Order: sequence, then C-alpha cells, then structure tokens
Amino acid sequence: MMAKPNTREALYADLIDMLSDLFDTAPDEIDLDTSPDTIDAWDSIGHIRLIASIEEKYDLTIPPEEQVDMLNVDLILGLLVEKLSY
Amino acid sequence: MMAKSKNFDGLIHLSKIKAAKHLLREAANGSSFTGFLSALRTYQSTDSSVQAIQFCANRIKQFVNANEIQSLRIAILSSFTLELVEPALRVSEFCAGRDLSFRNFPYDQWAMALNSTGELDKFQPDVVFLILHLEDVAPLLAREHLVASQNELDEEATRLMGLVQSCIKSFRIRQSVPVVLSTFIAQERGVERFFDRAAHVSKVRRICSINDQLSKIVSEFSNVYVFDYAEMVSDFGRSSWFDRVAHHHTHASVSSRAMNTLADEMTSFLSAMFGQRRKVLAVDLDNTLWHGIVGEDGPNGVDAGGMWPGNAHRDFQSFLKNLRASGILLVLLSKNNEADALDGFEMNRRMPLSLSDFSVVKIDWNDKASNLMDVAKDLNLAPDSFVFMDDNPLEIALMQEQRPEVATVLAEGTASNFQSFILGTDGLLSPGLTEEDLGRADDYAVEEVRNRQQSTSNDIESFLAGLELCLEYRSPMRGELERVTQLFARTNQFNLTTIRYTYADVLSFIEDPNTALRIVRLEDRFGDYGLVGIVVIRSFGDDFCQEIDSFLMSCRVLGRQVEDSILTIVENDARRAGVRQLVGRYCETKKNHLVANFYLDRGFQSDDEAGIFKRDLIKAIPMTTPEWIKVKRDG
Repeated sequence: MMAKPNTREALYADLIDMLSDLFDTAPDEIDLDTSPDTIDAWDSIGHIRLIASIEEKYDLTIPPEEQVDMLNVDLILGLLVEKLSY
Repeated sequence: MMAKSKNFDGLIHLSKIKAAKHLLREAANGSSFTGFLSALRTYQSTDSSVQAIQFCANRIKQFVNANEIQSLRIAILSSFTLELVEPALRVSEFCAGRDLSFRNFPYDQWAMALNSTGELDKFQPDVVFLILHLEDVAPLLAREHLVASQNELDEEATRLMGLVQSCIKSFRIRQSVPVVLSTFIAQERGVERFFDRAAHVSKVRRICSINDQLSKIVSEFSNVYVFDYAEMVSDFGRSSWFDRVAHHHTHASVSSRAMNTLADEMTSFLSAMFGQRRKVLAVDLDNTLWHGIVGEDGPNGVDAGGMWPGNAHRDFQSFLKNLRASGILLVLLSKNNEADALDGFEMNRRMPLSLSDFSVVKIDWNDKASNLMDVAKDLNLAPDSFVFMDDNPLEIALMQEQRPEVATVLAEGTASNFQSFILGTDGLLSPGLTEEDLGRADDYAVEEVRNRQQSTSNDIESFLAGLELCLEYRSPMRGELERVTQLFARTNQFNLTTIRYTYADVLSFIEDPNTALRIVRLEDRFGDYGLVGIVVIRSFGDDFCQEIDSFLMSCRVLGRQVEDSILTIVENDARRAGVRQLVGRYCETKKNHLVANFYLDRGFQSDDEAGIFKRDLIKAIPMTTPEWIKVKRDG
C-alpha cells in the first residue's frame, strides 16, 4: 500500500487524482464542489467504485451511514481528514 | 534509518508507477496494439488497485488501434450487482486479445432476461454467464436450514433447479450462444460450522447435491458449461470474497478486492472456450520429469518418487498423466544417449509415466526445435499446437527464437510448482470434456501402430487396403453438433475456405433447404477416429450449380485418400440431383497451403475469379472412390 498523505493538501491532491482516474475527467475540472451532479460517470455504481477505491487506498472501512453522506469532494475530504486524524 | 530507507524504496516504487502510468496514457493515443498492450501490462504489474484498473479500462476504451482484435459481448446475469467487475474484465479480456462489450443485468432480472425476449436479446451476447448466490435464490437453505423442514428444503432446491432449467430452455429456443452456469457456495459458515458434516441435516451436502444437478442441465442442452465459482471462491478465501455489509446495503455482495481474481478466471475460461487449443505438450526429461541427469547420475541415480525432491517430480508426472487423459498429447524431447534414457525408464518402473504414455519419443542430440518440427510432421499437427517445457533457459530461448509459434514454459525452481506453470499456459485447458478429448491420446498411440504398420508394408496401396478403412458420410446427429463446431473453429491445415462457422450457423444450416452440412466419420481395424470431416454444400434453387462452401478434415486422417473419397461422394450426389456444374472454393490463409491445389489436382478448372474452381459434370468423367475405402451412407 502507498504512503498515506500527511496533510490536508496532499490528501486533496490524492482525491483529485483518484476522481480523475475513476471518472475519466481532467484534474482541472475537479474542485471541492465536484459531485455526482457535475460528473456523469459518478453514478450509483461510480459511487461504489469510489468508496471501494478510498477504502483500499487508505485501508479503511466506511460504514453505509457515512457512505451516503459523501456527496461532494469537500464532504469526502472532511470525512477522510477526520478518519485519518490529522 | 530503517524507516528512512523504507520510505525511499516507497518513493522509487511511486515514481515507477507514475512513469508506467504516463507511458500508458501516451500509448493509448495512437501506439500500435502490441505497444499499447505492453504499456498496459507494465502499468498493471506495478499497480492493480481499483483506481489503476479503472484507469487502464478507460485507456482501453480510448485506444484507437483496437480494430485488429476480436470483440466479445459478455452478458452477466447475476442475483446480485456485479457491475464492479467490468473494468477488471475489460483489462483481462484485452490482454487476452478481446475487446469487451459488457452488460450486467439488474440483480432481480436474471430469470426474466432468460425467459422472455427483451434487453438480453437486444444486447446480442456472444456468451452468457449466470452467477447466482444461494442467499438470493435459496434463502431457506442459506439462512435457516436448521429451522426449515427437510421437505421445505427439498422443495426449495427443486424449485430453484427447475427455474434454472426452464430459463435455459426458453433462452435456447431463441439463442444458441454458450451459457455458463456457476456453482453454488454459501457466503459464510453459521452455527453448523462444527457439526455440519456429521449431522443428519448437512448444509454443505445439500449445496453439493445442488451443484451435482448442474451437470444434468449441462447434458440436457448443448453449448452449456459449468464455471466452478465455488472452487474459485475457496481458492481466494471465502471470508475475503464476500462483503456481507455490501450484500445488505447495495447488493454488491462480492468485495471489490475479489474483482481482479474473478475477471482473470472468467477470461481464462473464455480463452479455453473461444481461443485456439494447443494439442501437444513436448516435455524435457532430466530435471523436469525426474530429478537428476540420467547420463551422469545413472539410471538408478535419477529420482521420481519416494521423498523430496523425487516426490515433487512424481506428482508432476501424475499431473501430466491426467493432462494426457484430458486430450493433450505428450511428447518426450530429451538430449541424451537414447540407451541411457530408456534405462532410466526401465529402472524406475514405478514412476507414474511410462514410455507408452508418449505419442512420440525423441532422445538424441539434435536441437529440440528441429526435433519438434519432425514430431509435428509425424503427428500431422502444426507447430503452433505445441507447448514446449524445459528446465534449461537456453533451450527455451532457442525454441522461442526458432519457433515463436510454439508456446514455451520454463520449468524453473522446484518441481512442486511445475503444474501451476502448465495450468497458467493458455490453450491447454478445455471448458468441457468431449468424447474425442477423452480418447485422443490413445488414438494417437494407435496412430503410432498404424505408422509402424506403414513402414512394414511394401507399398502404400496395400498398406491402405490392410487398414480396412470405413467411412461414414451423413447429416450430423444432435449430439455431434458440438464436435462439428469445434472442427470449424480449430481446423487450419486441411480447410479449403476456413470459414469459422459458429454453433448458431450450424443449427441454421440444418434448417436451410439450400444448404447441406455433411459429416464424415472414419474407422479402421485399429480403432475409431471419430468425427473427422465436414462438407458444406450450397445449392441455389435451380439444379444447375452446386458450390462446396466448406471442406475441412482433421489432419489425423491425411494420407489415406479419404479426401478423394469424400469429393467423389459429393460429385455423385450432385450428378444424381441433376446438377451440371460443381464449384469449389479455396481461400488462402497462413496455414492451408496444403490444399491450395486440391481442386486443380482433381480435374476442376480454375476460373477467372481467383480461388474459384469449376467442374463441368456433363463433360467430366465421373470420379471414383479409392477402392480400399468402404463407404457407409445414411438412409
């Protein structure tokens, strides 16, 4: 497994990279407001893929209650910062 | 210090991944197929995460030079959501040379999709996988088998198998593409974990009995296969395979960790089904089949039994004996003094393999590539149907250089691992066992007897007469259609037009009044060759002309003038039907030069159009069947 990013900025960069790869979208089109409403490929299956990818990358388990709250990049980032306790 | 250097290694690894990713991104824009494939494999070997596989899948979709690879449309009908497998399957299929079109139908629609015309038919799949979980389709057995009565459990199982069977039946009326059924396994062990096998009411035994019934369904329909999902899950580890929370939350019951394994296994299965099958394993002797070098250690010094390391070689020999029984011929290629090697077999008679298990034995000091070519000629097989295994990297490299079409396997390290190398080689495994597969190795052993007979006969005609050949020419029976499709798919050398008709095509020929599909079976006094040839004849509504659309024969029966016999039958039938002109076609491929002049040599005239040969039946003197071949007709 890869090294965990140790700042919020590094984590954000990681997330942009991940969303870009998963949803085949250019990195500069992704910001904190990016959500299923702004990316077509981020549908319900896309969301499952994203969760699976995050869980795998940071060696986490995200329970269903939290999965449904991850509605945009900002919220995901907030949740991850909390989970990885920076 | 330690932590620092570990970090440093991690950074190097990260930059490797980045570089590989960059190369793949570049290759997707206009690189050749092989260039792209190699970039894909490199990146995948550095990173196989969910993110990386999705990135690969997106690059494959974007790749522009994919026109040289075949497309494959896979429909997965599952009782749970399996869409997550798509990217991994796209990658594994692409690496196997196939461009994937994929549909996973909603988990509650698998039965409906099979039962009635709709989305599944519209998708026009080339293959359908049916993957069911007991938790979804047999809830009593999966969750409350101790509470439910035996009657209720029996009824549930009967209902399930009845449903699967009727679904396939109704799908078969509409479509003839392969259907692959998966076996069942419980997602976890419950309170029964310590007593299940000992108890009167065993859950595992019930699941086994359901799985047993799958083979009944397979035998009832054609082109239906079983994919052993349960064994694959066991190999991977059941508790990591299933995701119980996701099962309840999103119906995505299989964990994302398992997707690469599932995709790889499905792709290997599909390669076994659609890919070209290798027919021969040519294997080295010293330090491959036994431990030691017989020329140095002596016949008593080599070891394939007892304790380590001989026992690993012994088990590998047993594995090869099984492989042989599944239809792969074994050939021995050894650099030794022949007498030494034969002594080795003589002094170790309790080894699983004996000399008679090999279709051909070549023990000399010639280079192995030329020996392999000689063997190919003896067996009437093309070199690309061979796999070559040797413990010497130099021999492997030489073979790769001189005969790149031969697949090679390096027997590296301990013999305990040899069988997994063979299992990982494309083309040696079969998705189903036909009767021809079961008897093939023995047939070729008989072939050796025939060849020896040939060398003792003075002339070829008296040899052929002595064989007492009997040829059967007729329409295929139901049970022969799979073998017919197999021949269309695999015959390369004696194949005049090499049109790869599918199972569906074969079925349509049987319905079509203007198309006659005839099969040829052959036997002689040594044994039955089975179904060895196919002819497809087209007529065009009038009596004037008939065209031989396809004419192919297994190379095992060459050199007996069976082909002349068949052509004579075709011509006689045409004359009887009042046909005035018989047209033969030849389409050149890389492999069928053997028959380039087939029609010219038999009194057909070449036409202005290349590859077309005509025979005027009014003017031409009728052909005659070689007299040593007895012909049996239907009706």
